[in-house]
Amino acid sequence: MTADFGGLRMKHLIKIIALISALCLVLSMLGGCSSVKVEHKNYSDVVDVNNVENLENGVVAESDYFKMIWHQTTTGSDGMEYPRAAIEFVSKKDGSVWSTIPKDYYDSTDPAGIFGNALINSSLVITMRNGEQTFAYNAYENAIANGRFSSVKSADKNGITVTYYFDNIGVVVSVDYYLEDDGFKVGIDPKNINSYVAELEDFNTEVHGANLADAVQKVVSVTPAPFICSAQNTTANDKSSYLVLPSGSGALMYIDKRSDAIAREFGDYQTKPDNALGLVYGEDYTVDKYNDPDNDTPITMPFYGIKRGNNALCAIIEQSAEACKITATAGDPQLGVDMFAETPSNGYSYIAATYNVLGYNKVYNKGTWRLQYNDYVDQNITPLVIGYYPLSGDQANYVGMAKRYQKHLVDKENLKKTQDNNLLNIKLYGSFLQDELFLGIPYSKELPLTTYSQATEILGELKKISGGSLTATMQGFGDDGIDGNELAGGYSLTGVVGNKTDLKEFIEYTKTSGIKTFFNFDTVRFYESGNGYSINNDTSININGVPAPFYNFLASTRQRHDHTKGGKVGALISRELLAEATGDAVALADELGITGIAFDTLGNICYSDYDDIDDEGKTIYKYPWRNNMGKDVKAITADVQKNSKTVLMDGAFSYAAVAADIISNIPTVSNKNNCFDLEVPLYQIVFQGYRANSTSAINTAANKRTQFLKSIETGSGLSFELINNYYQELRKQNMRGLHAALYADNVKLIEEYVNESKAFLTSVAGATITNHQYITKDVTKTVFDNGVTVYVNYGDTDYKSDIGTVKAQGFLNK
Amino acid sequence: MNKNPLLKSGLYRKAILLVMLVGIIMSMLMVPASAERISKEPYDTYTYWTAPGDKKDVSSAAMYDYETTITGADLGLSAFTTPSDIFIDDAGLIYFTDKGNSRIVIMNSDYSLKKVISEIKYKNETLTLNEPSAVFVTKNGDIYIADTENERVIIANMNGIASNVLYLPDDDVIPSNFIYKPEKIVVDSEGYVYVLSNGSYYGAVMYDDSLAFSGFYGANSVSGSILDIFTRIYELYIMSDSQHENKEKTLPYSFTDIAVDKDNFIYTATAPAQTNVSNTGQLKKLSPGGINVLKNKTTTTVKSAESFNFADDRGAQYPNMQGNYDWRTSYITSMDVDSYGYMYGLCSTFGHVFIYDQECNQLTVFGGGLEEGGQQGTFRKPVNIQVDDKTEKVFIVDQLLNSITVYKPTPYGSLVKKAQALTTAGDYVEAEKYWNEALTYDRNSQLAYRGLSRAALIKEEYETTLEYAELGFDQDTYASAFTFVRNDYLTDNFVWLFIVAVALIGALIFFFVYMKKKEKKLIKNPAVSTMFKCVVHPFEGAQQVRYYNKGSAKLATVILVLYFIATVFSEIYYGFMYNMIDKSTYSAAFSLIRTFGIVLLWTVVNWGLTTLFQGKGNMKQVYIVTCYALIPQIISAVLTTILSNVLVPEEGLVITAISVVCLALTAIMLCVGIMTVHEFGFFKFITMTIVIILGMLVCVFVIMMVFVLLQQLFTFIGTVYKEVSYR
Repeated sequence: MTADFGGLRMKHLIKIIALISALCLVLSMLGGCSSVKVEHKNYSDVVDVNNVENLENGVVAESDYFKMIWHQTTTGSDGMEYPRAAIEFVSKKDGSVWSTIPKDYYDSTDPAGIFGNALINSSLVITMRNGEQTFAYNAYENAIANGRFSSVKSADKNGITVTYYFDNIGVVVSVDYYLEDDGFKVGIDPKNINSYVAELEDFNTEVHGANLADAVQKVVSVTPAPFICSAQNTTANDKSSYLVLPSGSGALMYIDKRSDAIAREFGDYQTKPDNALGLVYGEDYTVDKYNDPDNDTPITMPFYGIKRGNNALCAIIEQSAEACKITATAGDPQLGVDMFAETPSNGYSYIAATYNVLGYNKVYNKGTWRLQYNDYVDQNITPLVIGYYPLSGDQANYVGMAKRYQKHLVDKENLKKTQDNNLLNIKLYGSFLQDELFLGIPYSKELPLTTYSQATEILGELKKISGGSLTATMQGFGDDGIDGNELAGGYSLTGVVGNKTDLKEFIEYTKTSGIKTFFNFDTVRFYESGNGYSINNDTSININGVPAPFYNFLASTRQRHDHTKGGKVGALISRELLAEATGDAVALADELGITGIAFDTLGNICYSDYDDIDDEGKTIYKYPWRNNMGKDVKAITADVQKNSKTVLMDGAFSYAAVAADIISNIPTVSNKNNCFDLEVPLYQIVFQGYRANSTSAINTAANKRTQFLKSIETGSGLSFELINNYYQELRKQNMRGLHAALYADNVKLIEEYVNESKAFLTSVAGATITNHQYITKDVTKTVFDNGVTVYVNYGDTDYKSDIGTVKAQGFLNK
Repeated sequence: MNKNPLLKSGLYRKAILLVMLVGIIMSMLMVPASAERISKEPYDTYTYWTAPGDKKDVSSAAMYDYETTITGADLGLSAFTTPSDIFIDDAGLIYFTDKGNSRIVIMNSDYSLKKVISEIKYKNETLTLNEPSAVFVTKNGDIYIADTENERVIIANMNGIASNVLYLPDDDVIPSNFIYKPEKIVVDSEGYVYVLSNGSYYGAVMYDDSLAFSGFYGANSVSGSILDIFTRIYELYIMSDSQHENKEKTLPYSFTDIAVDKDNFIYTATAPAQTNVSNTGQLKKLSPGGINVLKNKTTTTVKSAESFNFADDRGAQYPNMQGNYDWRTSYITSMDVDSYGYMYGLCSTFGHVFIYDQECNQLTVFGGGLEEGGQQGTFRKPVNIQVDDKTEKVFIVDQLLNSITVYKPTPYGSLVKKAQALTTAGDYVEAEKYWNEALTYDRNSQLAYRGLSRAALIKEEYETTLEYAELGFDQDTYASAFTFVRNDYLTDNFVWLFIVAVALIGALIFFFVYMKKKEKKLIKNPAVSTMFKCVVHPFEGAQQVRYYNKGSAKLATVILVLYFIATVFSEIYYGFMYNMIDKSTYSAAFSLIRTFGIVLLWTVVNWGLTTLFQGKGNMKQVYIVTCYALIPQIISAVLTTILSNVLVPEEGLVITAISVVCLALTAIMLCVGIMTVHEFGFFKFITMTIVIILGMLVCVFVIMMVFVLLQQLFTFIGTVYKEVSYR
């Protein structure tokens, strides 16, 4: 039988419906692939290539602290005028000079020297995308040497704005240099980074073999004043000058030129924009990655600096730090060297911040990977501001730099001192999921690692041991325990560790006994939909317009542990919903009578979101390049605190540490790059005395004694991770710490370490660090503002100090 | 009244059942997610847990901790260039070959520079080193230098004075095209010298204690498969001479490193030439005759280590210089052995160090870098590993970082090494305290549980032994302890067990006698009676099914369900001493396919094909006799499962015998049943069975094809949905 629909036979109707459906499908997909159209302007229509204005050489701004001197040109020894576009900042306090071109290099008037190295002559470097590749262009070679720059006095700041015209690639970038407070600053507004369709004959097609003419936005990143924190290399083994990098706890790179004539490099802003190393606040988790060769410890604070003999310069990225990458090169024997000069220099070392303006993703397909950048639609990215603060005398070292950053936090971020510092900090794990069989059908069963009654017993014993100075963080007490699949453990507490009465009694016990207790919520990562948060629709979006996956990596091969290998793939909550997700956790805490909230990811995962949010009828990227992550976290935390809650941040980046009441799991090591020469506790110098803090757990460290001494070195609280019940099935858990966390195995060690350190740690609670130094490679000396001094000996032989003998693997305080 | 038309038609119920079935199957196939990793070092430390049917890499406590990296600048020298080999002598002096700079660098034990040797005096002439690849120092201070590009081995002292030079021996054994490029060198305590020459697959060139050439030693062999045998026959008898000439020869892999232990056993490392090929038996311990004597001793078996993979099972993709991803396998290129006898293997790809004992038990894996290592303790191209026997430190030479990395053992590492050495030596009780302490660092240590179970066994603490042996998956030790526990139990409870047994037997005898005397039938239902008749009188039972329609499909289905339950019961509850499945990854879905799936497929294909060949039986009859034939299998599964929990493997013959008898009974019942219902002769039955099996294979293939296509269709629909919803 054949149906008839107004003359159309059934089979025809089906064909038409199928055709329309297919057409809709294709159109919708094509529609999805299309990008926001941006007007392409020709370079010559916007820039008048023959008419640029410039300030005369000389002082262009002055404050109580500095003189700013502009050098449009330099007269060479041959009497010729050479364009330089250099800016010098002269300190009125100590006479030190900090310049966009290293002063000694700039002062060389030999034309060969002036042209000797384009990079060191550049007060700006930009990286450009060209399809899937990126190339670095320095301002000297591409703009300054041709006189293609302009300078004008700032209308609203005490300084000047210099505009660099990269004619050959159609890019114009303006940089503000100005004096403010007790430092000088360099700022870039992303609105002043513009690229146009270059039409000039010498367009770079010959250089890179590709046509950039139709590129929409080409600038990937800008590095302003790359050599302002630079110095000529010192002689081998000279430890008087170094670069300072807050990688993890902190690290130094000596700038001596060594016998092997090898430059030590950290990060790479010129050729590897996809290299996450050096990113302030670690990698951006919205960027895909296939494998993860190393376990990286991120940069935790947005400052860096250089110690140059008796002077030092501390650079603080005061705005848009989330979008910045810090790169450093130490002991490069080639940099700035004129091979034809009679006495070539030793070369230069420098440390600088690169400002990323274009988001990217790494896309892997059929054996190749490609770099993709986001379309340059309107993005709400905040301008970059880097403040530079010269230090001299006793302050001209890494301690001085950390203290200067601390001052910045006190002055600008309202960081306040605290007398609190808990001697003993315990993290208790709640439960985990175990695979079970019912008639051969696998299912997940939750098993308690620590019940509320066991937690009460443990904390009771530890309270006696610590004398009451005790903090407890309850992790994995939400649904599914430590395997928590839904956001914030499903916004409910697991029943396997006890019922509501047990919980109530536990909370009551901790309150009456004065044990500060925090329940941990992960309001950033999740693996399954639930409680109104969808794994498909409420996640951060990468530049390809799809939810950014969050991978764990296999221990053996360091590859993604994804679905195909029995792992799980998660996502990050949309940046727009971060506050709401955290607020829901607070609501749960209110309901249960919990007053302490811990966040194990909010303070240490800094990520972008390329969701094109419609803002009053205009589609914009609101969170490109992790825009305002710090500001958002601070606001969210403040909201939580308003609700009479105390906030503990685990592994907190500086913005989260400032926002929190207590910080735990603070870094005690750097990223341990081969180019680092010394690990220093910058993080502790900044926050000790200002935030109650504790280091990462002692009992799960590779070397327990070393980890214990790390706490002593800076007066941080002792930390342990504990469970009450161990199960054979935990072997499937890749959390190494769990296997060393059984309370019964650790209680003696806790007692021993607490007894050994109680007097000292109590004496420095609330004290700030005023000095820290390495006496030998194994012995450190830390001085606190209340006069307490502690020597820590990591070596295997005793050390005789001025206050007595410091035993091997021990400490001595006065 | 339910007005839902679907319900009315029964479709709704079917739909619910279908959804439930799909849900159950999906839940069975779903693999549980693992928790995230926590690590503090730049590299991961892990080990493999081995259990029946399971091998999983799990994070473990660090046995080694990074100590330092040594570069040319640290010694005040120019940069090392492709350093290749390192050696630590008894005095703690560290020698290594800075190959690219053609020099031997000697360091003190505090890593300060002692001496650089680039020229050596020998009989009034000066020998200049040319890219030396290896160095070895004997107890009396003789330094053996593999002067690679000069094609010689120089024997010199610390003052740079040579006592002898070894060139390629002039001997008939050595092929005329042999190129002598010494790359590795060891000398045993008897003075025998073993030299590995670049690319040589003949084994090591061996010199005796008078430094006279004494032949090649310990070459690898080419492994052969059945396919290789056919290929060889083809080559010998069919290939033309010109084809022979053009054919690429299959050569054994050459040794990539060599080491010697305190007992003068020679150890070698072997890696394939290609980095995307995996191999096994990478580490060898050679007898004086050059035979690999290394054994892989598991808790239940002792096998040759030739088939043991000393590296990671998994490979990985990683970016090459062109930005593409290459597939790389984990392979071991360098090795050393310490005074305990622990073997240290170095994987150049991943930068991992594997430590094994003499029984191929893995102690730990550490290091990393995946050829991109820029952090302390990670690597880009590690090429050589050496262990300092006195300090237990591990030294690794990296040819791209141009550095030497030093690891030192952690307290946990020292504990495990001590404990495992005592355990392998059989001193279990002495090892116990170390294992107990090691557990406080890592309760996930399988070696610790195994060591403790053996200690408890020696101490005759059998219950404790069982507990530890189960934790460590040590079936052998478990069985040993179980024998004692069982015997003790039997001894303690013999009287009442005897009484219960006698009472049971008596009751049974009384019951049967009573039933006979009263002429009462035990089974009244004819269908049930027929079913049991099929077991005890297969022909008679089958005839009742075929000709008297006394078979019951419902009863057959009950049998099939019982068979499925018995199979699952057996797989889950089979005795620990025999169990070879990983319960954590077990899924009853596979049992469902193996029971219901195969029976139904057999029935359908049987009926379909026999119909074409004059088979008289219908599908119902085939189904019934097939299911009835499973009764012995149900009995077997239940009995053997119970017995596997009572009998130790040495008594396992009883279990095997029950299995075999039941299997034979099933085969007979099936044979008789099918022959009867189809009225086939025996040979026709055999022929048809072969055809049916082939038919079943075709069906499986078609089902799989449909499954794959459906999977792709669903994936496509899912992708389209995601694309549309995200954009």
